[in-house]
Amino acid sequence: MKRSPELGSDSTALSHPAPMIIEGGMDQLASLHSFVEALCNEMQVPDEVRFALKLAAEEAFTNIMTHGYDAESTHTPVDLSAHATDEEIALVLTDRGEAFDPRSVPPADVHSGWEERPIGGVGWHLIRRLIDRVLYEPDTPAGNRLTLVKRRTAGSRPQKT
Amino acid sequence: MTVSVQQMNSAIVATVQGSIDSLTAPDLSQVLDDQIEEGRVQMVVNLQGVAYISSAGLRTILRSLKRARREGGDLRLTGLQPGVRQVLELSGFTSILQSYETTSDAIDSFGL
Repeated sequence: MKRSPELGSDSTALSHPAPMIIEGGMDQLASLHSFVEALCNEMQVPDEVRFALKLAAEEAFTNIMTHGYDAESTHTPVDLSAHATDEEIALVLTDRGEAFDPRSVPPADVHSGWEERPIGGVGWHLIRRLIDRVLYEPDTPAGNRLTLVKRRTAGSRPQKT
Repeated sequence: MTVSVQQMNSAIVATVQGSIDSLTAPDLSQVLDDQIEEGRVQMVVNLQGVAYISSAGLRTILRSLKRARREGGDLRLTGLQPGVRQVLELSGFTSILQSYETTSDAIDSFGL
């Protein structure tokens, strides 16, 4: 049985929702949301966890679509899969676009006044605040692998990443 | 996602139903831009019917907020559901714009 390296040896690769590949660009957002909704239904998570996973998935997907063009300038497909333990869910997005370094993402400006406040730039900030553990493995044989790990119960606090 | 607009006193109320995400945010932008272009810059955005907003929605709100204020108006929110409120707080939006429990409170806040 496939284990998730991010969740450890007691994790289970989920067959429902079945792993899927999203082809194309941002117009496939609905497919991504459907996958996450199905995952949350299967795991019977509280609304707070569902919201966090759905939003983090969208922000991660948007980031891939922004950066993940291949040499022919077509959107990289994105593989979706999920793993779970009794305590945690891991949502995995794997793309075959150009890798990027999450450490290169500048901190979000969430303090400037309205005139100076930049439009945009909070996607990664939201991922880090909503998700308990974020793991990024660029350039694996399958592609760039982003894992979003969230505790299944409400009231979890993200670790520093 | 749908947006309906009503004139209420001298403010407009844009009532949004559905999710504001990367695909639907441009539609909201268009509606708000149309109002601003007509000079209707005292704006209330009612999010009672919105359970989900992503950073695309935040960009729309901020862009419209800046435009409205530069034209001497404002954009104020009502009906924030818990998830939406959380996203606004995490993104530091609650320090730069006003939100109200009810649409009538938001309209009254323009003092008209």
